[in-house]
Amino acid sequence: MLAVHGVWARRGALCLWAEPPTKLPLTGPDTDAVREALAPVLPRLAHALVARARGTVELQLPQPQSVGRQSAGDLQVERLPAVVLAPDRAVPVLLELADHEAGPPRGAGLPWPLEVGEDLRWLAGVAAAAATRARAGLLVPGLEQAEGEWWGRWYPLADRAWRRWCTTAAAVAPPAARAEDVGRAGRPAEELVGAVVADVTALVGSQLAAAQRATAVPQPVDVPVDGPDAAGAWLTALRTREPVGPEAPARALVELAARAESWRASASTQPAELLLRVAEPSEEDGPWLLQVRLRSLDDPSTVATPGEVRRGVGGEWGQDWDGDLDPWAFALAELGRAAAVHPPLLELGASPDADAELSAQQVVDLVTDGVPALVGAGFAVALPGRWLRPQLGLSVRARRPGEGPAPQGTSDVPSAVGAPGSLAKADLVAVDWTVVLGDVELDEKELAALAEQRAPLVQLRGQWVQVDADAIAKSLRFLRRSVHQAAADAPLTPLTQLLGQLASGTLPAPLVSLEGEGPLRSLFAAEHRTLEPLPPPTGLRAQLRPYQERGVAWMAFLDAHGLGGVLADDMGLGKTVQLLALLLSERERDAAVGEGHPAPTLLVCPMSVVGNWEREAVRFAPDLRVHTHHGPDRLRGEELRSLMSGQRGGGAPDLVLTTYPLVARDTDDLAAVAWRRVALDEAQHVKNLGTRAARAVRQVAAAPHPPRGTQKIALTGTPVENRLAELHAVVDFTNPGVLGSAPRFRERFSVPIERHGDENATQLLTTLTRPLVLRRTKTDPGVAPDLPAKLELVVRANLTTEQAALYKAVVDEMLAKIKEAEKNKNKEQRRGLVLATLTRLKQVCNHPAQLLADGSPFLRRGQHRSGKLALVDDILDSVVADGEKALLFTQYRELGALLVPHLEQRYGVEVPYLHGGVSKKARDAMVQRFSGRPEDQDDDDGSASPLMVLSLRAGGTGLNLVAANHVVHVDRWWNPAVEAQATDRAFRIGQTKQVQVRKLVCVGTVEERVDELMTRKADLASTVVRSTEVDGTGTGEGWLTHLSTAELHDLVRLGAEAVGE
Amino acid sequence: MPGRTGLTSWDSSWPPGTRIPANGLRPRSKRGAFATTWWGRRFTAAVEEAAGAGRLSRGRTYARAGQVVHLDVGTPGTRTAGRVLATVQGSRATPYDVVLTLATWDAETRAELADALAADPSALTAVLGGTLPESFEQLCLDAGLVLLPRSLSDLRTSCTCPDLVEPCKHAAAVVYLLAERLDDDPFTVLRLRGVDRDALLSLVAERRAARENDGDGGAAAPTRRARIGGPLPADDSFWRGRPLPPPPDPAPPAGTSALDALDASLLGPAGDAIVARLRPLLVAMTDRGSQNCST
Repeated sequence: MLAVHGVWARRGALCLWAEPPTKLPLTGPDTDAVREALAPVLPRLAHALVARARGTVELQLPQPQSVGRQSAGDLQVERLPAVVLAPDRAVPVLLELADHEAGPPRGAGLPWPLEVGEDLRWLAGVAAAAATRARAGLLVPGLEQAEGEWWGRWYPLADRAWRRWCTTAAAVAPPAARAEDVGRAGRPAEELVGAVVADVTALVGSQLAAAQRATAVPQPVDVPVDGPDAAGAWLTALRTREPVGPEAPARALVELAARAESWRASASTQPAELLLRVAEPSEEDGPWLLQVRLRSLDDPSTVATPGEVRRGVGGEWGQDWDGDLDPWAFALAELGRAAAVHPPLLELGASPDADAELSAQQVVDLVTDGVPALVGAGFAVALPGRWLRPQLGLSVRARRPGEGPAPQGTSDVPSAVGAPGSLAKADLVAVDWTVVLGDVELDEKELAALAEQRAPLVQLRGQWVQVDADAIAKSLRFLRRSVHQAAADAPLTPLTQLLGQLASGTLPAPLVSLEGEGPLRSLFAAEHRTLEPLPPPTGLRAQLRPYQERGVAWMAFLDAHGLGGVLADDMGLGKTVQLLALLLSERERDAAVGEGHPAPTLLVCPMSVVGNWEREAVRFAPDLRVHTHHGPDRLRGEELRSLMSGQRGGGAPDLVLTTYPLVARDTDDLAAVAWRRVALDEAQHVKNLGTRAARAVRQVAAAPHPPRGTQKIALTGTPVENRLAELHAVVDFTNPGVLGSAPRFRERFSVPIERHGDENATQLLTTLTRPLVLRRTKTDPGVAPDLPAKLELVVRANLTTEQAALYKAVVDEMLAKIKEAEKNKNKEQRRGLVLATLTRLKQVCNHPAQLLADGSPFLRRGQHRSGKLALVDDILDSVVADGEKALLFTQYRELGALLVPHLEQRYGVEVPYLHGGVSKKARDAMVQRFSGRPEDQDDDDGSASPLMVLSLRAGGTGLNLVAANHVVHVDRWWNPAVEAQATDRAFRIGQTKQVQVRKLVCVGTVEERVDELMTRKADLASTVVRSTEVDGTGTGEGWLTHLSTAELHDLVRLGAEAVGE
Repeated sequence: MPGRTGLTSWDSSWPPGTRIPANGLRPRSKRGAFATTWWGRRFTAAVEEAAGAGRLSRGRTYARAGQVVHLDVGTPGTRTAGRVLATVQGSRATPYDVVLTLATWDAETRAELADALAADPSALTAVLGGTLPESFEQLCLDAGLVLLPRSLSDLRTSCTCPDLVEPCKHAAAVVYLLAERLDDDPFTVLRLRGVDRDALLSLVAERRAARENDGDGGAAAPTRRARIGGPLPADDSFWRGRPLPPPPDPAPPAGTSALDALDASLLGPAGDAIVARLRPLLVAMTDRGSQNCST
C-alpha cells in the first residue's frame, strides 16, 4: 500500500512523503505502473511521485507501539525522504487533488492501493480556496525584499470573511499537517494556514499578472506617469516577475513597502472600535470615571468592556471577532494609540480592565485638551449627555434714574438725584450689572455659592457645568464693588463713562448684553425703530421718509440725554435734510414752550459742499436763518459774536456754515460762540486726529457752555473708509472717551478685528457703538422700501478763486462784445457770441484748463483748481468705498481727457473713456469689461474699473450699463430729455439697485440759474425741446440767444456766493 | 549618483578612507544627538562607551550623509529575530553589511514577560503609545530579563569592512540611525528581543484572562475561542482532521475590486494615483484569470 502525506514546509515548499517502508520519490519497477495508472485522473500527482525532486523532511511522528498505532505512544523526530516541490510545481498538484475529492479509483492498475492522507487533502483544500480567491481578484499587491532585491508580490485580501474562514480552516487541520519539526507543539495551525495561503496567492497572483505582461494594460489618462518613480517601478515589477528596477531609490522602496503593508492591513477591521467614556459620579462627592470600552461598529448602541466581549457576555457580536487579536488586546493596543495622541491618558490610569477615577479638574483638562485631539485623530469619545461649558458673561442694563425696576444686585437710586429734566445731569444713568452663565442669570447668592466651591465642575440647577473658578471669583468681587458704590457715593454714571468702561477691557468677564430700560431701551436696541417720532416740523418743505423721521428722533433723543451721535447713513439717504429737520423741530419746540431762540448750530463741511448746504437749507427750510462764515469778507471777532447774539439785526442765525480750513484758522473766534450744536459734514475729514482741522473742531465743540452744553453730531456716509481708527476718531469727537483712548482702542479693537478677525471684539464694538452710531444702508430692509428707485439730485459746487476770476473775465468780455454787436445790429454775430460765451462759461465751471486749453496741470500744488471736480472726487470716494460703480457724463471731450488721467491716478484703476473717437469694437469691449463681475476679471490686467467716463453724444444712447448705479452729469445739457436718456444707461431693466443721479452745477453761475429756471418752470422742458429742434445747435441752448442783454446779464453774472476761498 | 552602480571592484580611483557618496537613509537629526529618548540613548551609549572618538564622529557623519543605504529590524519568529541588518556605503564600491545582534528571549522568557505585563498592563499601553516607561525596564529586570543593552556585550556589532575594531564607524552609523527609530517606536526594542507585537498582546491577554478566571475562584468563564492547534497527539487522531468549511463567496460585487476595500491614503500622498494605476491591471488579471490560468 502507498500512503502519501504532505506538509507545507517553513521554507515555502510542499514536501510529499510516504509512510514507511515506501520512499518517495518512487523508484524501480513500480514507477511506470504508477504513472500509467494515475495518469488519467491525477497526472500531476503521478508525475510528482516519480519526480527527481529528492529531498528530506524532518517530522515528528507517533511511534507505533508493539501492537500498532491505536495505543498512545510517543512522538519522535524522523528524517524521511521526500519529494520537495516549490510552490509553482506544488500548487498544480494540490489543485488537482482538491478537484478529485473522492480520490483515485483503488486498485485500478496499481500494484497496491493508494491512500492520500487527510493532511495532504487538507492542504489541497486550503490551497484551492486561496487560489480561487486569487483568481477572483481578491488580491492586494505589495513589496518584499529577497536576495538583496525588491520584488513585487501578491497578497490575499484579508477581509473579515476570509480571516474567519482561515481561523476555521486552522481549527480543523489534521495534526499531521503540522508535524514539521519545530518543537513539541508542532507548527501552529493558524500560522500554517497563513503560510499556505500567502504562498499560493503569491504564485497565482504573479502568474495572472505575468499573463498581462505582453498586453499593455491601459493606463488611465488622467494619472501622470512621470518617469521612473518607486511606485511606477513597483507596478512594472508586479507584471514582469523581475526585481524592481534599479531606477527606484532604495529609500523610497523601503517606505513604499511599509506603506503598502499598512494599506494591505486596512482590509481587516475589527467589528468594534475603542470608546473612551467619561461618566459622571454616580453619587454625590463620588469621583468621575474614565471608562475604556469597546463599541460595536455594526450596532453603535452596543457597548461592552473588553472582558465582556471576550467572554461573550457583551452580546453575539463578540463572536465576530476576527483574527489573532483578542478583544482585550485590541483594546489595549487602541488605548496605546490613543495615548500617543494624548499622553496624559496614561497618567490618568486609563485601562481596559478598570475604570479610572478622575478629579473634576482632570475631567475638565481631559475635555478641554484631550477630547478635541482624540476626536480629531478619529477616536470615539463619549461625554455625559448634559455636559455644558457655558460662557460666563456680564449683562448690563442702564436706566434713567427712578425709572424701571431695581433688580437684584443693585441698590435703587435715590430719586432726588438726577431726576428727569435735570438737564445738567442728562446723561447720568443707573447701571444694573448681572452675571450670566450661559443663558442663566446668576444672583449674587448663587454666584457666591459657586465661588465658594472653587471647583471647575459644578452642578447648577441640575446640570453639570464647567466653569472658570477664577472668573467666577473675579465677577463676584466686581459685582460686590459695583453694588457697594451704587449704594454709597456714586449711584449714577454718565452713560458715556459706562460705555468707556465697557470698552476699556477691565471687566471681569465678557460683555454679553447691553440693554436699556424705559426710554433707553430703544437706544440700545438693534433698530432705533421704537423711538418716539417727533411731530414733523411745520417749517420743513419736504416730506420726510420714515427712516429719516427715525434719524431726526434719534438725534433729538441723544440731545435730550446730553449725548452726541454719528449719523452714518449711506450717501443719498438724506443726511442733510435730517439735520435741517432737527434744527427746525427744536426751534419750533423751544418757541412753543417759550424758551426763546435756540443757540446757533455750527456746521463744518468741505468747501465743495458749502453751496449745496446753502441751497438745500433755502429749499427745505426757508425759515432757518443761515449764515455762511466763508470768504475773505467773513465776520471776525467781535463782529461775529454780535451777529451770533442777534445784535446785528435780523436775529441770530440758526445755522452757521463754514469749512474745515476756516475752523482751523478762526478757531478762537468760533470757540467763543455758545453753540447749540457743532455738526461735521463729511466727518471723515477729521479721521486723522493730528490735523489742525481735527484739533480745531474739537476745541470749538468742547468750549464749555453751561447749562445746556453743545451737542456734537457727525455726518458721514463712510464711517470706516480704511481703518477702524477712523471710526474711533469720529465717535470720539461726538462722545469723547466713549471708546477709550486711541492706543487702547487700537489694542482692544483695531488689531484683534483687522488682523485676527476676532468676532468677540467685533461683537463688543457693535454693541458699544450701537447707541451712538446710526447707519442705514440703501439695502436695509427698513430703508429700501422707502427709497425711490431713482434719486435725482442737483449738487452745487463752489468755484475756486481762479475759476471765479476767469469766469468774470469771460462775462465782461462777452457783454462788451454784445454791446458792440448790438450797435452793429448784427443779430447773427450776437447769437454766435452768446452761444460761444455760454460754452466758455461752462468750460470755466468745469475746469480752468479746459477753457485755457493750455495743458496746465489738473491740480495745483495738490489742490483742486476746480471746485466742481473736487466735489466729483468726494462723490466718487463714497461710490468706490461702497463698492459701487458710477458713470460720468460730459459733453466736452477735452474734459474727459483731463478727468480720466486724474481719476486713474486717484483710484488706481483703469478708467474707460467712451467718446466719439472710440471704435465700435473698442466700445463693446469697454462696456463688456465694465459690466463684468469682478471674479471674471482676474485673468485680465486688473479688476474692472468702478468708473466710466462717457461723452454725452457717444454714450448717451444705446448702451446698457446697469453695472453702475450712480450717474454724475459733470456738466449740463439744458435738455432734460437728453440727460434722462443718458441716465437711462444705468436706470433700466436689469438694474437691481437704487440709481442716484447727480447733476452738478456751480453756485452763483449761469449753471445754477439755468437749472433753477428749468426747475421753476415745469413747462420749460418742452419749450427747450422745441427750440432744440429748431435752433440747430443741438445743445438746447438756442433759447438763450433770444434773451435781452439785461436778462442775459442777470443769467450769467458771477454771484458773490460763487467764490470759494 | 556615482558609487554603487558606476564603479566596479577593480576601480581603485577612490583613495582609502574616502567614502563614496550614497543617497541612503537620512536622519531627522541634522546636528546634535541622534537619540532623544532615554531608551534610545541606552543604545548609543553602549556603542559610545566602547568606540573611540574618531570612529564615533565618522559614524555620525556617515549617518547624516545618508551612507546607510538600508536598515532592517529583524522579524520575530524568523532567523533575523534579534538582528538589525544594514547596508552601509563605505569607501569601497561594494557596500558593507553591518549586523547588530541582541540576545532574543525564548518562548519561556516571553511568557514570563507576558505574566508580568498581565499583572500590570499599563506599561504595555505606554509602550504601544510611544513611550517606554522606566517602570517597564524594572518590570523586565524583576522577571530576570535584560531589555536595553548595558554595554557592547549586550549589543554585538559586526561588519564586513576591514576594520578589525568593534564597533567600526559603519556599525556606529547604523546604531545612530537605529536609535532614531527606537525614539519613534519603543516597541522596536521588544522586537529586537524577538517579541512580536500581536503575539505579545495575545499572550498578555491570555494570561490576563487566566488571572481573571483564577480571581473568579475558578468559576472559569469560557474563553472566547479554544486555542487552535495545541500539542501534537501521539495517537491515531494525529492523522485525522475535520472537513474544511466551504470558502466564503469569492465574487466581489460587480464593478468593485479588492482595492475598494482598502484605505488608499495609507499608501501615502500618491495613494489614489497608485490605486488608479493598479485598478486596470487587477481588472485584466481577473478577466483573463477565469480563462487561461486554471491549470
